[in-house]
Formats: sequence, C-alpha cells, structure tokens
Amino acid sequence: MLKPTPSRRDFFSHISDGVHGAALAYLLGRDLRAAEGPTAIYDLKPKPPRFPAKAKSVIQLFMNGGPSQMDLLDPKPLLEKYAGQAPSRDLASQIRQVRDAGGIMPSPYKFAKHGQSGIEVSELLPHLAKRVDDIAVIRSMYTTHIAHDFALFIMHTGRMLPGRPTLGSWVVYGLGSENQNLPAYVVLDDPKGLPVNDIQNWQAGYLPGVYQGTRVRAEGLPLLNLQPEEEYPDAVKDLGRSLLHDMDDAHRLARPHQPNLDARLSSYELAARMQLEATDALDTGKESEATREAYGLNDEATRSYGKRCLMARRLVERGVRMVQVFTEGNVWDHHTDLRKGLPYCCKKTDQPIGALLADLKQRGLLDSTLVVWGGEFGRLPIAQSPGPTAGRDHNPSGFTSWMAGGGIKGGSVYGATDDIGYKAVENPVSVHDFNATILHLLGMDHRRLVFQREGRGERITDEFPVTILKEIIA
Amino acid sequence: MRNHLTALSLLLAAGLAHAQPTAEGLKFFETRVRPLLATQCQGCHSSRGKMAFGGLRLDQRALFFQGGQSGPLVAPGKPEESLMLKVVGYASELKMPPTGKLKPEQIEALTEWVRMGAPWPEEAAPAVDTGVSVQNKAKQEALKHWAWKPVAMVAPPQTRSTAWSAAPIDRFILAKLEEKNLAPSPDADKRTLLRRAYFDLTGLPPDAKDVDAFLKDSSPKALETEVDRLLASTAFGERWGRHWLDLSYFADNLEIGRKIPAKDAWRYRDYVIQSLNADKPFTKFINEQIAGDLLPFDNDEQRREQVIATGFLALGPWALVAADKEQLRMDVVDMQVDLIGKAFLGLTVGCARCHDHKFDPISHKDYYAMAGILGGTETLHGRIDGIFSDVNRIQLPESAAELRQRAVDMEKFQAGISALKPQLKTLTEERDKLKKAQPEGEAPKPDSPLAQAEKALAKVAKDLALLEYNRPEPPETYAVRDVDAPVNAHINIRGNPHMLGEEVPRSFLTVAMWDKPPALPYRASGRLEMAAWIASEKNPLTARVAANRVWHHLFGAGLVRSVDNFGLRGELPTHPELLDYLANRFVEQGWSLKKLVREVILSRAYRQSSAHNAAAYQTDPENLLRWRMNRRRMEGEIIRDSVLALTHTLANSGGGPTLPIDNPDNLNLGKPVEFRDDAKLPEQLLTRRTVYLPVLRKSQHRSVDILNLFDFPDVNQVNGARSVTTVPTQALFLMNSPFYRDQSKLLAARAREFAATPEARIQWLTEQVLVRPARADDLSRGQAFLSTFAAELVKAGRSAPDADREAWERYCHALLASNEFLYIR
Repeated sequence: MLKPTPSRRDFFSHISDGVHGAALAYLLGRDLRAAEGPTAIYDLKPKPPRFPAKAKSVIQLFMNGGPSQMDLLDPKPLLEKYAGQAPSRDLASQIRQVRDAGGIMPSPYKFAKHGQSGIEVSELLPHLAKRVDDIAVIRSMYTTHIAHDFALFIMHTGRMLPGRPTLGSWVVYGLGSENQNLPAYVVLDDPKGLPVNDIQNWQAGYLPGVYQGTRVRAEGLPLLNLQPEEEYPDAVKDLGRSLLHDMDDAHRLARPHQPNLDARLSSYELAARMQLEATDALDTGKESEATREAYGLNDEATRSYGKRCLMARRLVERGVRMVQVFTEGNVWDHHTDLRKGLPYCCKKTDQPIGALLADLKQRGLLDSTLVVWGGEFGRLPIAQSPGPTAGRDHNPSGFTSWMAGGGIKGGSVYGATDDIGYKAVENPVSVHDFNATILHLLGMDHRRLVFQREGRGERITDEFPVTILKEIIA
Repeated sequence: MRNHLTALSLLLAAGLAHAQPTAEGLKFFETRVRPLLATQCQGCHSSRGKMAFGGLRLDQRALFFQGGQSGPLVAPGKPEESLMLKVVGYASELKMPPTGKLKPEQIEALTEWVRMGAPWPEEAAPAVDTGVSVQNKAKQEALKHWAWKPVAMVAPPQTRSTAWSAAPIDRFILAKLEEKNLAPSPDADKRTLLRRAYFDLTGLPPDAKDVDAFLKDSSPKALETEVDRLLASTAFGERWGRHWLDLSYFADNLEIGRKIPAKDAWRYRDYVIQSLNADKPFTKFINEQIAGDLLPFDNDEQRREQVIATGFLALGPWALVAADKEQLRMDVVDMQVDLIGKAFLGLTVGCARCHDHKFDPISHKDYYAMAGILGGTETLHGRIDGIFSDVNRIQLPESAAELRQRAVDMEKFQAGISALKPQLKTLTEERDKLKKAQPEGEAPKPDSPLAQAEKALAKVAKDLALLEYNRPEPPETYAVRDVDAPVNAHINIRGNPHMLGEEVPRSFLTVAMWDKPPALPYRASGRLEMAAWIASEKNPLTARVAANRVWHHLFGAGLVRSVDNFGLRGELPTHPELLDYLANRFVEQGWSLKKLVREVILSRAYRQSSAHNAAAYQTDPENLLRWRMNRRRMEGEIIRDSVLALTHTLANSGGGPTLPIDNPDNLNLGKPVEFRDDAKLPEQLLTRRTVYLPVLRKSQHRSVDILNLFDFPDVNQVNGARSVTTVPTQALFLMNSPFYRDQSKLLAARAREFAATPEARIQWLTEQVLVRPARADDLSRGQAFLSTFAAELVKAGRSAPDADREAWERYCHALLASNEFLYIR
C-alpha cells in the first residue's frame, strides 16, 4: 500500500496521476457558492489580451501617504516669488480645512534638467534622474477625496468605498497569470507597517477570491504558512503529505462528481509547488553581489525597499502578472517636518527604483513590464505648521505620477498644474483615465472588462468619462 | 397635482413661445439639435429606451418641454434662464452629460436653438401624458414578479409514492422529483446524520458518547430527541447567531479605515446569540433591532436588551473621518437602507439612491421615503477627536452588580491616577530642567540624561492616557435614537446630498405594501412603524426571506439561491410552493426560528445521503430538485472550533467584552486611539469559540488567520451566502500552520490516553474526528504510515519513543486536514 519514502518529485507525479493534475488545477478558482453543481469558472489561466500589447506585467510602486509633487517632479519656481505670502483668496477658500496653515512655501530642494529629454527632477531623486528618459511624468493627476482612506480606495478601485475590486484584481481577472505556481497578483508590503486601509488595498471586492492580491512578506517566511515552523527530516517530509493524499483520494473515489473535492486535492499540489517555486522566486540571495549592491541591499537605508524591488523583478521575470510594492504606513504623509520626512522617503526608495528600471531594461524586461509610481494624492503649495519644521497638507487637486516601460514613451511629460502646483490645469488626468490607460497598455479595453453582478455589468471605470493618455504611449 | 399644473402651464407657455417656428428654425433643430439629443442624451432620457433618469424624456416634443424632476429645461428665447444650458455648460451642480462635457460648438448650437425660441415641429401628443413607454410596460410586468405577491396558503401536493415522506416538506420535494422521474436518495447512515445535525445546529462535532447513545437509541424519535437537545444548547445561538451577524455590519472597530475600538460592540453580538437561544419570535427580533430604543418596556432588563438591539443599525462601516458631514450622514442612511432591504426583505434597495432601481419596481422616491425615516434617526453623535465623528451611545440601566464592580474599579482607577499624576509632575520638571541645560538647536544624544528623562516621561504619560481611556464608566452601548424634529427627506439628485430635488413623505416600499401606508407620527422618525411593516405577516417578503435563509443554512443553497436578492434579477425559487409553505409555518408557529429549523431538519429531505447517483446527476447536476443532500465545506470558524473541541481545548465561555484594550501594547494612543495590528489576545480569549473573538473591519486578527483564508465574509457588506473558494493558501494553512501543528500534538496526546494499541488508537481517532468506525483500509494505511514514518525518524537519529510520538502527531495532522473532516456530508 505505502510506497517506501517517495522523493518529492514522485510525490507530485503521484498526486497528478490521481487527479489529472492540469485539468484539475483549472477547477481551483471555482467559486462554489452553491454546494455543488456547475458554476462559472474563475481561474488564473493565462488569457489573451483583447488587442496586441507590449506590457505583460505591472509593477506598481505605491507611495502611500501622498508624495509632494512640487518637491520632487513638478518644479514651481514661482513659489520662491510668493514665499511666505498668504495664498490667493480663491485658493484660500478651497483649502480652508488646513490646520495651522501658513503662507506659500517654496521647495527647499533644487531642480535640474536631466537626460536627453531635459525633464527637471529634484535633487532628492538622483537615481531616478538618471532614468528620466525611460519615464513619462504625469503632472496633472487629480482625485476627488482629501482623506487617505477614501483617496486610497479611489486610487485602487476607482470608487470611494470598500467592497470594489482593485486594479490588480481586474488585471488578473482579465489576463490570468503566466505562472500557475506563483500567486498571480503579489503584494509586497513594508515590514514596518501596512498602509491605511490595510489589506483592503488589494481586495478583490465583488470579484471572486482568486483575484485578490496575495501578501508576500519580505522578511521571514514570504507567504503565510509557506513552510512549517519545525521541519521534519527529509526522509519523512513527504510521507505525511502522501498519507493525507491517500486519505483524500480514498474519500474522493467513493464520491464522484464532486469538483470541490478534486479541487481541494489539487490545491495541495499547487501549494506544494508553490512552496518550492515561491521560495526560489523570492530568494534575493541568488542574485549577484553587483545586483544586490545596485538595489541598495547593503545599505540599511535602502535595504528593505531594495529587497522588495528586487523581489518584484524576480516575480515578473517568472510571469507574475501584477506586483504592488507598498511603503510603510503613511510614510509620505508630511504634515510636519517635510525637510526630514521627504529625504527619508526618497533615500529609502530612490536608489532601488533607479536600479529596478536599469535592471529591467538591461534584461530586456522593461518593454514587457509597466512600472507605475505614485500615491493617492499630492500636497499643497502652502506650509502647514510654518517654521523650520513645516510640512504640507493633503492636496487632491493636483499631483504627480509616472509610468515607465510597457509601451510608454520615455522622456515625456504629460499635463501641468498651475503656477504654484496646486491644481491640475492642463490635460487633467482622473484616476479613471489613469487606470484605463494601464489596462490599455496591457491590451485591455476598460469598457469591455466587465463582471456581472446582481444583474449589473461592473467595470473599474464604471460610467465615468475616460480619456486614454495616448500622448505618453510610444 | 402641483407638478401637473406646472407641467401644463409650461406646455402652454412653450407652445406660445414657439407657436410659429420658421422653416429655418426647424431646419436648425433637425440638423443641429435633434441629432445631438439623440446621440448625447437619449441613452438615459427617453420614453422608448429602458431609462428615463430624473423623469426626463427628451425624445418627444411635449415631454421635452415638460422637463423632469429638476423642472422645465428651457425657457424659449431666454438662454440665460434655461436649465438645460446651465447643465450642459457644467455651470450648475448638475452636470450633463455625465460622461464628459459637450464640445463648445454643440453647446453653442443648443444655446442658439433656445435663443431662436426652441423650434420643434408639432408632433402627435404622446399616447399618455406621462409618456407611456417601454419602461412603463416593463414596470407593469415587473409588478407581477412572484416575490411581491402575498404568501399563498398551499397544501402539500399529492405524490405517487407515499412511503418516503415523513413531513409535508417531503411531499413538495418528492412531487418535483417525480415530475422528472427521479427518486430521493436513501437516508444517510445514523453517524453521518448525527454529525450533520451537530454541525448544522451547533457548529461542533458530536462527542463519541453522544454517538454511542444515538446509535443505541432505536426509537423512531431518536433524531427528534437529539435535535431538541441541540436546539436547547447554547451552542445553537453561537452557530446561528453568526449566521445573523453575517447579515449585519457588526465588528469590534468603528471606523471603516481605522481600528478605532468599538468597546461595547460585543453587547450587540451577545444580544443576537441570546435572542436566538431564547427563541425570541422573529418579529420581536426585527422590532428590537430596528426600533428597540422606541419600544415600551416593563423593566430595566428589557430596556437594556431593546436598546442594545439597535446596534444592528448603529454599527457599520462608517467613514467617521469624512469632512463632509452631510455626505457622511447620507452615506450612513444609505448603508442602513441597504442593510434593512437585504437582511429582512431580500431587496437591493440601495440601488435606488441615485435613480429608479434599474430592475425592480423600487423608485427613487421609494428610496427617499425610507431614507427619510432613517434620516430622522441619529446614528452618529459628537466627535471622537477633531474631524472624527462618533457613533451614538446610550447609557444602559446599571445593575446592582455592575454598580458594585464599578465602585471597586473606580477605587483602583483613582489609586492609579493618584500614583501616576505626581510622577508625571516630577518627571516633567526634571525633563524641563535638563532641557534648559541643553544647547539650543542640538538634539540630545540617545543615552543622555535628557533622552532618558524624555523616555521615562513618555512612559508615564502613556500609562496615564491608557488609564484614562479605560476609566470605569456606567455601562453604555452603541445605539440609535430619533432626532428631536424629524423631517422628510428630499430626493438627492444623482445621489448627491448637496443637490436636492422634491421632498418625499416618509414611508415604506410601495412594492411590498398591501394596504395604504399608515400615517407616520409627526414627532417621530417612523422607525417603529417601519419595523411593524417589516414584521407583519402580511409583508410578502419577510417570512419568505427568513424561511429561505433557514433552508440555505441547512441545505447549502436556498430555495431561492440568491438569498439576499428576491428581486427581478435574483433567482426564481426552485420550489415556490414549498417556500410559501415554510413561510406560513414560520408565521403560524409564532415566528419561532427554532421550530422552523426543527421542522426542516426532521424532514426526510434533510436526512438524505449525499452520495452520488448517476441518473439523477444527469438530469439535475446542480441538485436543484434536492435528490440528495449537498456536501458543504465547513466555514473557517467551524473548522477552528471543531479542532479545539476535539482536543478538549475549547472553553465553555459565553460572551462578554472582546477587545483586550487594557493592555498598553495593544493600542496606539494617538488621535483617535486605535487597536494595533499586532495586538495580543489573551489565552483565555483564544480558547473561546470563534464567534467571541474580535471581528475587525479590515483584515481579521492574525490569531484567526483561518477566517481570512476560509472565506470569512466582508463585514462591511450584507452576506447571506458566503462564497466557498479552494485556494492553495488554505492548503498551506492546513499543512503548515502552527495552529494545526499544535492541535495535532494535543490530539495525539489524547489518543495515547484513550487507547493503547495502534489499531485501537486509529479506531478511536477515526471515530472522534470522522465520526465513523475505521475500515480495513484506514487501519492498513495508518499502520503502514506509522511504522514507516517512525522507522525513518529513528534512522534520522530520533529515539524510538520520540519517533513514535511524532508519527502519531503527523497522523493526527493528516486526519484533521482531510477532506472527510472538512466537509459536512
């Protein structure tokens, strides 16, 4: 009855015999709302895009908290001229909610032109400055809420309230994944803390659970329960799983036409493969010393973010569709002490991001990988808590994001804010424009990526007007 | 009537203004305006299409000039007074088209046309003045939908075979099966049946003793006796209470995005569990949850219970941080309308917030009639901190025991304060002195006396803040109450609370009305009357929806499978007569949930085996006709509770406070105070049934990871039916989680205690975990595994006793992770 100590490989083939491996992996995503019977099949098998597209995967570098545009990528020399002055009456009326508001605050940082494109970049981002010809800067983003919670929901799902799928969920719903042994939609959160809204930043909402982001940890075990805390000796490792498999198989054979039983059985197979592949995929120790150095893994300030950027590259390289890299808590939220907080954030992320772009390019992955950078809103041109430790308050009316690779026209600038960087005035870009453009770059039409729910066709852009940012597409 | 007159006078005025359109004017209309209306506007505003949002129909002359909810569209000849031009110019709150502003030349054309006197050729008058339309016909059709019809008195049908049926329910099932020439499955064996009943009624496995007793009881009433015993156990309320909580927005934190502790939310959870255990009539359960604060009471105990019940409305995913408080107020009302609609009536009323419901005959007006009632209800009151609103609380009558306890707590509290305050003073002075000595602009070194003083000060300040936060107070609960002067709501145009349309008298949904709505009192919100309307036996939905939920929980799928949507887009009932029979029985038996559950569970339909039947599967693969019992995967909390029960770790705890907020490490004492992600739950909490563990609006606490993995529903939504997914992260949990590992060890230890030989142990474990005797293949597989595993471990250097112990632990682990254990069969 019992085979003598099968090897790991035997173990897998053994399982596959029993349940016709691949065919049953198909069942995995079934959302079996009723206890049994045929229901819609939701899986992560790769699906062709609607039209040919360069981008195959997305790495979203999410700067939760709201980075200050006029100190990073949207230089506003006029702020110098108005320094310390009260904002215009019009502006003042719109920002009356600021606690402890001060006058106009110029950027404490110098800007210089970089690359062939001559795009101006703040001195806080020297590494990004070197890659500026690869990126398209969008200076005219705007959103519709001023509080983190809502603005995050809006940025990720297009709507202000929870319960809606995030962009990443839509992407894997539409395209599946090229690698069935790894989660399709991976979230690399900062070990120092989750963003506001926690795991709701990668929820599947009303889409089936298979499209939810899977949180992968950068420290310790990458996936929850990926390995047992105490490992058995190699000789017996697979015996226990084999026993379970035999028990389940005996149970299943007596009960045909129970897709959920088959699916559960093959989920063990997938889990086992995931144990191997995820462990390998996320092992940044396998990279060369030069690469590790480039990503900043040898420097305490950049190590954490650099490691996650490197993991992101290793994941898209293996066919993972969507990777989101978050920063800690609300770290870009500089209400006070901008001069301390902003350099901290830039130091932490700039070198890794520069290295990621260079690395993707050098490996020929940048064409097929869309890299997206930005937060949930921007910041105001006036000071908050004025003085040496001044900061800036939230600003949904205008902020900066950028995209690179995946069919993006590098070295371009799209849209503009007004003279003081408060409001998007030229080619304003809504969250819907932004998300629809990402889908477009992946070969999907936001109007036709639809999920039927309660008799209604749901879309990430709902009924909102949308403009695809054609000007930044190569 | 007033509307009618305005429309009429406008028609007259409009008629006068363009009495004599010039040929040029008409040509302009036909070439520049009509195509524009057709392509840009009539998608949503037409008498021929599906929709006439805002009551506006722009495809017929008379209807165009009549205008919509916001009034007439044009003042012919006067562009500056024409609403339409303001709207398309995006110069008013209302902006059309919503998908993007028209091109300047298009707006110019419309302006010019209005200036010309809005020429539009004469047309035959519309057949009916309000615009008879496809939409209206669809509405007429929609009114015939089964769910709005009164519950019918139905007699169980005659069936060809009479041997099988044990209860009227069975005759309804059998009749449908016979129509398709199918037969029901035979009864499940006694063990399987007992296990099923245990899980369905209590969410816990039967003990071996229970199984023995049941097997020995050969009377025909054996199952009945057992079911009655289980219905009377407190575990029943814990199991079915969680079903109800899935339909509420209950959680232990207040804000949608922040973990602001909801200190007293547990009172509502315990109320639900106790109400189900007391078998409170469902109508009373409804009345208390919607209007408990308004109900009369005889004593403190009753008052307490009724006020706590309104936690149903008071707790929710409120965006307390929202700066726009009017928007927040209407968002709360909206979530409550949706909650009441789905939980009690199985209707998606929330869809009518911005426009008439697209599918169901629920109008925009209906929505604001109900919204007015909830708008006259105060859910939020005061502030927690700065912009964060607070949820309304009502102080509860304090019992003598509580009062005594508070006196004791107060003494401790005072002692704590008197100890800490002087410390704070001394430390502050010390710090200030050191600070003065520190050179300006220089940061103190990490181990300098100043840095140390700062640290000590911070600690005392934190202790003090925590003490203050937990100050002993008279008991209170999250509850709603009527506002002082309730008023009707106005329609929010396109759902925008800052764009008000007509006033709508407070009332209920016309679609579920059997009589004229009662007059609502002038000085009250009308919640009491709304509760009575829902809890009426004449309401066509309430009893049906509730009976269907019972069926759903006992069979894994409702007779209406879309349990929260009985509307036109919901599924049709597979057995409409049975549903009405159950609804009637529910009402007849005093709305007793226990009696209804009992009746269903004692039917032969419920007793069927879940085994496969090729012929029946061919005809009805989805088992819509119930030719067998559905197999159901246990919910996450049932897996956890059952494992704890099998290892005798589960505490028989009862409810009480949930959040360990007296531990300083569990809170961020910021503004507002928040419960931390890495909060520690005390041991005695972790051995409780899962229903008593903290429920959070975001990710569930890591100590109940199993809930995150096994489809625990989003607590911010109404979830009558949980989804069931099978994903590899569940497999990883079952294989590798510390919980499974630890519990397997405990189970192996119990097995050692109860049985000596390997064979006896396998037998004992199989009976405990799978509730069946071990078969020959269980024994041979198990023994082969145990000896191989132990032998390999010995080879790897383990001592023989260690190897044996670990082999048993691994064996138990496999049993607890097996499909046979994880499914209710």
